[in-house]
Amino acid sequence: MPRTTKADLEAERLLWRAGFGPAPGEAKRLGRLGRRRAVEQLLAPKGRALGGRPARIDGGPLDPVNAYGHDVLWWLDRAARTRHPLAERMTLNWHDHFATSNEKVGDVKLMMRQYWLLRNYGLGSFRALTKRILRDGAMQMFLDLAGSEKGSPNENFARELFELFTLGVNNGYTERDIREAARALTGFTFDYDTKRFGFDPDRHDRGVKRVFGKRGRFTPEDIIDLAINHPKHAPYLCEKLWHYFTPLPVPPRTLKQMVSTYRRSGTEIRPVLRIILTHPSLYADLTSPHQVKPPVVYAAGMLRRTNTRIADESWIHLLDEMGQRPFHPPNVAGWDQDDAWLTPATISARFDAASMLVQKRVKDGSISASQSPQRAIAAARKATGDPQISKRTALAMQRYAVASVKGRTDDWEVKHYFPERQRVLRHVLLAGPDAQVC
Amino acid sequence: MPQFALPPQPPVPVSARPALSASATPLATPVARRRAVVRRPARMLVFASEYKLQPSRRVVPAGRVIIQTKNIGEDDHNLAVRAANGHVLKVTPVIRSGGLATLRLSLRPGRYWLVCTIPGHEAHGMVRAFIVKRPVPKVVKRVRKGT
Ligand SMILES: [Cu+2]
Repeated sequence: MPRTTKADLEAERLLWRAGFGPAPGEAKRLGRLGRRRAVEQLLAPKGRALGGRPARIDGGPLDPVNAYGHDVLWWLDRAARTRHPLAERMTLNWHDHFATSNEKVGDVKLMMRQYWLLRNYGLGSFRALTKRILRDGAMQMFLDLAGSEKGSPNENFARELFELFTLGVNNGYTERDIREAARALTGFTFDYDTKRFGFDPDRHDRGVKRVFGKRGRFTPEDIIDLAINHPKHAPYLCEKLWHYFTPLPVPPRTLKQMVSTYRRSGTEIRPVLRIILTHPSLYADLTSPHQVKPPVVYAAGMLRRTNTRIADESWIHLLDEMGQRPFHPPNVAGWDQDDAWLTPATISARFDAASMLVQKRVKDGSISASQSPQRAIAAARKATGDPQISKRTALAMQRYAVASVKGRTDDWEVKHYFPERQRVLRHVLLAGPDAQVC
Repeated sequence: MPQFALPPQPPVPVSARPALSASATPLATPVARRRAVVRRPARMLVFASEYKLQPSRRVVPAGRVIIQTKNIGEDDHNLAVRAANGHVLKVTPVIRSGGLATLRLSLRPGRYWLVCTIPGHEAHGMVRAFIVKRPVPKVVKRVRKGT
């Protein structure tokens, strides 16, 4: 087995935190570049966005628009096959940040259009991204912006714009700011029959509004600018971005550096990510990881590690049980991250996902009694992308590899227990304690 | 491994085939192959809420179709497929909030309606038209032998 270097460990960490885990050999390749160049490669991906074989259900391709649950599979499939890990991971992060659920929108085409918005503009300017989100059909329906009109403005979008998208809860705005901003955000329309979104100047409140102490005949885009120019915006967003990549607190000096970089660049996201992804905090405790993998990362990671394509609908249910279905966040605040991912029910679903994968790969009768415990462990490591494991896990696996087949010499025993040993070893590597964190 | 040629066998009615027995296997393969040629059913996804239906498409190719309905509202709803002559072809059971129901049917070209038949809901707007069209036939070039 090739020796694992610190560079390999760093690359493996980077690929889990800034992507969906390494495909076989990917960590070694990235590790050779060194930290800085590896991060640059993630920040400016080139070439085909997807590799591998696309998902196939019942002999046909996914039909996310017309078949229930295929939207979830479509997202998971892209995560599992991505060759642009950071761009794809940021799409999931922005989906959490600008959380929009099809449970209210009821239109997968609109949801997918929002996916592409986040995917195509997620590494560029935050100001431009937020202005596109303002005009996004799924968002306009989710937060009742479409149909909000002069005289009876709906405050949902204005509230979440300040509270979640740009400033943070009660962070530098008042109820009155929300009410006045909502007036400025009136005029958007939607027609269910033609499915057309629009803006009707006659339904827009053209009066003078007062937001953050400034007065003017603000338009919807002006409100986005006011929020992003607010002094509390940059620290809020930079700290939120930081925590998508590490549960450790952000050092005050680093936060200052991110904020000034963000402002100087004109709200560019890439330079902030560069600071986060090259920071020593991201590579702390390489051999005792401390971030819980979000379910989509965990599931896509398993598919990547084992080179498996999605071939049945059970992933829809499994992701639901694990607590994260893309396109269906639980509420406007997105998903609760970190330790909140792990409950007895979600852990059991994480185990089930691994069981499903190993059951399909290793059949009874497929391994002979001549396989030594060491060969069994090596085979299991190879089949699961040779992940990092703790000494404790390595020892437990060794003990198990010997004890599980001891005295199993009858034909029927060999037929079952040798493959079973392989299944259990792979299961430990895919779903054991080491596999839940990164 | 030696290859044995199977003697020609008369078709066995499905009910007469022993389930999961070895003798059923040689017959199962050609049947499965033939089925793969048949076009998979068209799919449609409908979201129901107060008081609207949002179908994923307006045009469906004629033949088998699977229509799934997800209730994303708070009240009970259902989904019926009504032909142009007013005849209800199929209707789901009541779908509770958050529930999903599936209808499988075979449709000829024409105009149809999706409706929620819970009293009052259609009048409130839970009705949408859709069109079934003859699938565009694939142009198959004949390969002429000898020319
Ligand atoms: Cu109804």
